[in-house]
Amino acid sequence: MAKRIAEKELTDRNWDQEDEAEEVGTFSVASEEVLKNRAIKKAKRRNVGFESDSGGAFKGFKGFVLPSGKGGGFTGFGNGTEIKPLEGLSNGSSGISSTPSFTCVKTASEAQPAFGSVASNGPTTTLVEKKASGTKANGGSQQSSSSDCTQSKTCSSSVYHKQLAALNCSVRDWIVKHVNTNPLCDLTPIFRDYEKYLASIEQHHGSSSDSGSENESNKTIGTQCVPTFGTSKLQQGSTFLFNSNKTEDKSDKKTESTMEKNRESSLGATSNVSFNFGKNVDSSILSSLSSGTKTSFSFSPGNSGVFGKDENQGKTVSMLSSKVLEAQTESGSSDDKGGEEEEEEPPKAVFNEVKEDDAFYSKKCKLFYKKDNEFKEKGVGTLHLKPAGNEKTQLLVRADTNLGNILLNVLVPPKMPCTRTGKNNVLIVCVPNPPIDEKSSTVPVTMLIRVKTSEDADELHKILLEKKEV
Amino acid sequence: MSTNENACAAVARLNRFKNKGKDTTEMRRRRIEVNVELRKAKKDDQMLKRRNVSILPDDATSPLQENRNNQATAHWSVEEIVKGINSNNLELQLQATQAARKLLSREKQPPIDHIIRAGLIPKFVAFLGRTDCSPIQFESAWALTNIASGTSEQTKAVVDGGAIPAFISLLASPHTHISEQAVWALGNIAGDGSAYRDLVIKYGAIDPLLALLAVPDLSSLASGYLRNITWTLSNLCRNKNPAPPIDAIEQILPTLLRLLHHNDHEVLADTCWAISYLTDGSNDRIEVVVKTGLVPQLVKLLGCGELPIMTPSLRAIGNIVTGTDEQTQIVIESGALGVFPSLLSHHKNNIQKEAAWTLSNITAGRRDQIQRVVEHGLVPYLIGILKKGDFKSQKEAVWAVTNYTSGGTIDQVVFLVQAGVVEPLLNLLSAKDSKTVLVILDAITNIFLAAEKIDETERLCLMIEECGGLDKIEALQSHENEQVYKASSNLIEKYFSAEEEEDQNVLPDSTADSYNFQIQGSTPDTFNF
Repeated sequence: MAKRIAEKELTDRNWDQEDEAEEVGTFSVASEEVLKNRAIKKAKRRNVGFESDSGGAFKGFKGFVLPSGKGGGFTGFGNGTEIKPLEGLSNGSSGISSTPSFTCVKTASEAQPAFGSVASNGPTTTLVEKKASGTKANGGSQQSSSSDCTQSKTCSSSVYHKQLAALNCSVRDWIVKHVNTNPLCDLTPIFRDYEKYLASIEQHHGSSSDSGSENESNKTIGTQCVPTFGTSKLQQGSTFLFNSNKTEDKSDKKTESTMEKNRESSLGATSNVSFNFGKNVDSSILSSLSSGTKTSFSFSPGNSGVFGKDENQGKTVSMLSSKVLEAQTESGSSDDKGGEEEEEEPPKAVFNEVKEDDAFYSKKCKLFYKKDNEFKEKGVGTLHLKPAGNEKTQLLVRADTNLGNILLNVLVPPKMPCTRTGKNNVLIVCVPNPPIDEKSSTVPVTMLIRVKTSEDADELHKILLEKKEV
Repeated sequence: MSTNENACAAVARLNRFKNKGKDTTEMRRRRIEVNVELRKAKKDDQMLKRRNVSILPDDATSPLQENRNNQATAHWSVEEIVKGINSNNLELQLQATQAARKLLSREKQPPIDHIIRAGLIPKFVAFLGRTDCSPIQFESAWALTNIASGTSEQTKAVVDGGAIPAFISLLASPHTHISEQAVWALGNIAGDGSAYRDLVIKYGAIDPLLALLAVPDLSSLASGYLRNITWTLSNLCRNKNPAPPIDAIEQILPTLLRLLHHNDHEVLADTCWAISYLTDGSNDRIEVVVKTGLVPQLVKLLGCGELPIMTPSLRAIGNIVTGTDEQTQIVIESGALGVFPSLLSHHKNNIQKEAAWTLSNITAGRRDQIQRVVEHGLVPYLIGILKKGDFKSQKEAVWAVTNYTSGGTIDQVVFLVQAGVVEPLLNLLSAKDSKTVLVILDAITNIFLAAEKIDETERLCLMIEECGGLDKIEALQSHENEQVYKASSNLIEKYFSAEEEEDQNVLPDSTADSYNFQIQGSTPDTFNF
């Protein structure tokens, strides 16, 4: 029973005394020591950049602000000193020039009202604005921006350039806007973030040993810029990449990468740019973007449903156009100390795949096992089906690491329960090997195999059914 | 309901914080202790009522002509008083007693201790019994009243002098002003604390007291007289540890019910105070009160619009709904909820707070009771407090919401969400008070549980994200309070987790006012490698 008695005694003596007002205050943060030992989880965001509230999901985002968090707290840096590096950067990078594009500025300012009450005063909303302006500038007037991007089109890896152009346009717009508002602003944080974003773009679409971002986690930042080029182009790009899911990818990308090598970037990033699509996060971003546009967008705009009665109706338009944004990748932490680490490379998630030569079916998957009525993750890896003599089939799942640890290695028994569930899962029941639990190593366990798409799941399911019938 | 878990290791640490790790009984005990201390300290500062009347009542018969001798008994020294009282002359004794009464009635620093040290109390007590000289009964009663109105020590001196039975005898005096003085004195003595209260009861004060009201119409009594009696009765209902004997309460209650229907505002206020004291206790205490059938009248007074009456009646009703569901139901059926729209938006913060607290105990009840809250249109008012109220009121409103989400049906929770509770609720997450934060996180958890059942978690997540709540929840992982960290972390893991956990080993760089750049998580259903 949740009844609570009165906190304070109330009598005829004290009832009309003024209570000391209790302030809401703000919470106290734990000490560094404590924080170090905590596993802080990142939340996945579903809806990026199109909040109609000021700030919205980005209230806490401080990437574009000074630590003081207030517009007034800027130190007096003149325009000239800050703008120049930007121009220099943009000129030097990939041949996309952003200098003449004050046309974009106009569209940006026009575009802003379209996004409702995107606040224009607080630094907390900068990302929203940035995205808004960046998006509109590109999406709304594809013609004008396409001129910027024509050069990139000639290169088959247009995505990288698109992202880079989007980034530059966004930054430029943001800077223009804020410097117009208040010329006495310190734009250092903006450039730090620019570096981060750029590094992540490099990482995704041109990671190399001497790219400029601090760590791997920043690589996902780049995805924000991805959708700003309009969905159609991106989808094309991504389908192109996604179709090749075997090792052929590497060769394709290598050619791209050699082309990329010739481009300079004065940020000190990338000379050898290689696109690792088959294995890394990158491709998953794009592929998931493409699939994202199809399936992962769970919010159905016209249908207000139960919970979202009022909140979401106003956002239908923007939600639809931001479909691509919906597909997001894993989060990572970001360092604000971008400036100093310009020369360092990000650690790369490259691994050499252990080849399974005689597999007749291989698919990337994530493996779960059921324990205590919930599914626990076993790992990420590649599922292979190999013939195992006697018309039997071996089901092997290796982790996607350099070691290639075996996550599951069983013979597909004839009567193995195998069901298709959810969007892209297949459930099987088998005695796990290696055992999940040393004590109960002969007990069959339900395993869930999750693959990229529902088609993949259908395919896997079908094959498993075939193979176990034998 | 709560998702907070205390790891064993954390408990020891938690116990070092003031209120953490203590269960509710322990906290209640502490609260009571603290309150008792406060009460004692306050009472020592406050003077209980003291008569400062300069006009003598009409039927004061005195061998001395007051007008002639008004100055004659003014500003005596204590020595002179002692001398007069120790004389064998009744007139002198009366003069001296009156002089003492005047000393003790002056505004500034009456020489109470001086009088006590002079050993005058037993003399005064003896004078109480002088039925042959009602003026001296009156003067000594007055003097003793004022001595008893002081500190506990001073009251003790009066009690030790044998005053209680003497005053109880005086209740039956044919002189109303004398009986009234006795009522007053007994009120002071009983108001000192549970011990003397029970002593007064033991000496048999209740019967003669109630007998004073044995008239067909209370309005026939002088208002001051009636007020004094009501006040003394309320002191007999007052104080806990122990609470007054139940049989004494049962004896008094019918009179309280009668007083509750009277029209004098002070009488009504003091009666409501008496009921608020009586209902501040265990459920069987509440039962005794509720059984008299006074709740409907109490509810009526709740809506009377007079703050001195509304305050104690709201507290009384708030106390009653801390009882059983049935007792709460009686309050609801008496129509209390109909008054709540005005209470929840009252200009007085305390009323808002008490109303929200009361509501929180109703939403802690049965689903049908929650439904009544909904039907009375109180949810928007609750949300209004969340949006802009005094923080103390907001805290209570938060409890009301959490209790609602805990006990409500899915439909009721949906209603709550549709009414717009999520955003203002989450806005309070940045509050300093970690208990409140935990309660809010509980509410969110409960709402999620409801959402899961109807497959609306996605929408809820979006809602939370869009109003900035997700940022706040994430930020809470840096809270100094371990429970808050765990609760917020659990929420994120359960409903907002990125599917790929590659970068979880990267330690966050969070400073006091900024936190990590929030990168979008993975796609909801597709899988990233």
